[in-house]
Parts: sequence; C-alpha cells; structure tokens
Amino acid sequence: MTQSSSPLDPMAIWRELSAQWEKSTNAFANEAMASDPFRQGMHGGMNASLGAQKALGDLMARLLTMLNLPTRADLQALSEQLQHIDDHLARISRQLEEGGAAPAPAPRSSAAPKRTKQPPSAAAAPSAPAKKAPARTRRPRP
Amino acid sequence: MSTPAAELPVLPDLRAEIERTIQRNIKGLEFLTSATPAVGLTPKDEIHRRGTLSLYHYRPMVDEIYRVPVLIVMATTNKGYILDLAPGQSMVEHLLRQGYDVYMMDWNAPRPQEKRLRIEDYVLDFIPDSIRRVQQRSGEEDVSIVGYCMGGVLSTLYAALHPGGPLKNLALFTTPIDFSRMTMFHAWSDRRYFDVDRLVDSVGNVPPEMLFASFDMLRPAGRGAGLVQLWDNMANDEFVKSYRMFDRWGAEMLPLAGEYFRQTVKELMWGNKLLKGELSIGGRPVRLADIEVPVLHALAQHDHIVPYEAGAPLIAGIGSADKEEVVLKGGHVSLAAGPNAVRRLWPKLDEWLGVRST
Repeated sequence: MTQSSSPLDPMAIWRELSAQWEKSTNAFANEAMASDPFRQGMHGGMNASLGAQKALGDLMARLLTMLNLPTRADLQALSEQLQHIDDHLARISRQLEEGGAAPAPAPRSSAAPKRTKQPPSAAAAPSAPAKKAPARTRRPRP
Repeated sequence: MSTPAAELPVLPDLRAEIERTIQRNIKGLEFLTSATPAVGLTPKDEIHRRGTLSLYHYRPMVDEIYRVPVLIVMATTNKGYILDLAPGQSMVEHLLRQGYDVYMMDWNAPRPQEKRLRIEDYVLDFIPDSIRRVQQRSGEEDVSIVGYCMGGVLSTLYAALHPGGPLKNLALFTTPIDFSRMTMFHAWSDRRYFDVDRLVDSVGNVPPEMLFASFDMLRPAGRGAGLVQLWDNMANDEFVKSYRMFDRWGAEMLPLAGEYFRQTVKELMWGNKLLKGELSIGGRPVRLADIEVPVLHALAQHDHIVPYEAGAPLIAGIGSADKEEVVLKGGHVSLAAGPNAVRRLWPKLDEWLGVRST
C-alpha cells in the first residue's frame, strides 16, 4: 500500500479538519438561521435597536436645539439643498450639451486607437443568428 | 534496541514543518505590519460623477480596439475594483488588452439625501445617462453592457425597458431573477417579521455593516476557515496578497439607498415580480421577453448568494434568439475575479463578446 502524503503533516490534518468544520458549521447554522424562531428573534432585536436609536436621536436633537446648535437633520437639509443645486447645474449642463452649445464631447485625438479590431477568429462570427435558435446552454459535468 | 535519531523517517518532515512554521511566523508579522495592497490601478478617467454614480473610462492599452464600447454596471453593494484588483488579476485590464474600450459605472456611498433614490433612478436615469456619455466619448451608437449581480438586475431592467436600443449586447454575471430561490435572504426578509418600512424610515440609507453582516451570515464559518487557510499559506506571497485584496473588498461594502432597498425587498424579494412579469418601473411594465439583444449569462456552480436556480429563469424568459447560459466552476466572487476567473470567465466573455463587438 502506498501512502501519498507524509505521515507528519499537521497542516494537512488541520486543513482537513477545518474544511469539515466549515462545511458542517455552515450547514448547521444555515438550518438554524432559516428557522422561524431565529427570524423572529433577529428582527425583534433589530426593531428594539431601531427604537432605542430613534429615542436617543430625538433626545439629542432636543438637546442641540436648546444649545442653539444645528442638528444632524439640519445639516442634512442643508446638504440636500446643495445637492439640488448640483443636480440643477448637471441638468443645465446636459441641456447645453444636447443643444449643441457645448464643444464636441468626444475629442478624438490622432493618437486614439482605431475602432477596427476584428475578433481573432472572424470566421466564427455569428452571421445573423437564426430567428428562434434554441438557447445554447452549457453546464459543467457533475 | 533504539533507532539512531538520524535514521528516523519522520525527521526530515519534522524539520521541514518547523521551518515552515518559522516562515509563517515571520510572514505573519509582515502581514500584520504592512499596508493593504493597492487596488484598482488600471489607468482610468472619471468622466462623470453625480452623487452615488461615478462613470469611469479606462484608457485603451492597444492601438486597435473593437468598434463597440463596453459599459460595466457594477453591483450596488460593492466597489467596482473587484473587477480591477491588480495587474494580472484584473478583468478590466484583460478586456483592455483584448482590445475593448471599457467604461464602468461604479458606485460611491449614497449620501443621506440620496436615500430617496429608487430603482427607477438607476434604470431610467443613471444607466441611460451613462450610455449617452459613452456614446459621446466613443463616437459610437452601439454599446454593450456587462452587469454583475444587482448590476446585472439593473442592466436587465434597462434592457427590457429599452428594446429599441442602443444596447448591442448584454453580458450578465450571477444575476438573480427568481428571488424566492435566494433561500437565506428570502428567509431573513420574511415579511411577517421584517419591518422594512421601519428600518428604512429610521436609518435612511441602509448601513453597510448590516449588509456585511447579512452576507457574512450566509457562511458563518467562512471567515474562520479563511483565516486558517491564510495561516496555512502565509509563506505564499501571492496568496496573501490576493487574500488581503479580497478581504478588503468584501469588508468595504456600500450603504444602499433606502428607497432602493425598500423597493428591492418589497417588489423583488417579497413579490418576486421580476420573475412573475408583474414589475413596473416608472409606470412601465418590465417584460423579460422584450429583451432581444444577444445575451450571455454566466452563473457560478457554488454560488451561495445567487444560486443557480435564482439566475436560471433569465435565459428561458428573454426573447433573444442569440442567448447563452454558462455555469462555471467557482463562487459568487471567484467567478468574476481571481485565478478561477482568469481561466474560465474572462476568456469566455472575450470569446462571446469579441465576435459581437465589430
């Protein structure tokens, strides 16, 4: 009987154990996490966290208002207004380009590559495929 | 009678193992103290940026290129550099060297005010706007699209809603159509317990930590097993570099625009409306059968995020006469990036796209 691997290869044993552990843990965890109690618990926890986050956010907003400081919502509103201006400028710019007022947007320098490449096997190119050709499906062998 | 130590058959193995362990320790220290390798190095120009969208044009690497430019639509959850990890490990670089004119729609973290972005904004605004810019820059009317994961879903919706062109070819990687077959995500988004309205109304944009945790939970032991594998290969510089790049990319998830997330959960995950033909985008019905351009759909054999069954209905449902599905070895990410992709997907994409890009 021949033995392909060294009798002393702790990493090989470790690799094998780790692969088995990964596979079985993933399978077990996936089964557990797809269960109804897990889903309920996960979303229950998330809702509680969101509730706490909101309560804390409201409290902070009140505090900042009392201190006469802008809240996160105020800054976001400001940022949103700037974004509107930005979008508006982008729209104007696009309209100008579409109206031909802008310079040609595709400056093709003489160094630009030629768009004439043909595939290596041009003969294999699909010459107008049949109207209702069946889907060519290739799957690896199991 | 005792055997002299020099004759023990296990001694060379023991010595080699000790040497490997020392080497691992030295490299392990290097690993902890060195910076993460740079990614996304292929030269490119950001030709347009609007909020969450960045449109890049990669600089051609050869003197003669195909007539039809290629626009990559990246998944909205992650940065596009997964397709441009490092020289020799970059799908973008591969396409450039094969003679394609490559553009990419990459995503930035949506800003708080972009929480109102909907699928409509991506499909009826960002993609058509980017296509128009690609047309202008390239001087070509036709454009091919390559969509990855949710980028593939958005590309599919775009293609279905714009049957009149200018889309020339559509190549999709791991694109889900039947969302009920994404079993774990489907289970976790159970409408009896998951209050998506409360989540989105509370947080605005869905935080990346939450998305990261969801993806991580699909394979809870994956991270630990990955670390074991890293330790085992610590002396292999290429492996370590690759591990760090993938790890960085996986951890660098993007927030999702709140309304887009709400719509994805309600319309796609709960309603499965894309498969059923009941989805409307901007008041326009989305029918897969309206897609008539050549389509390639590449799926991964061991995809734990988009299983084969979730992506398979695409080819059956579209109206294209020229369509092909390939199922390649690999997982959701290794299908498109890394050594597996170099051998399988990239040549396949080139072979399929080249003859359709003249």
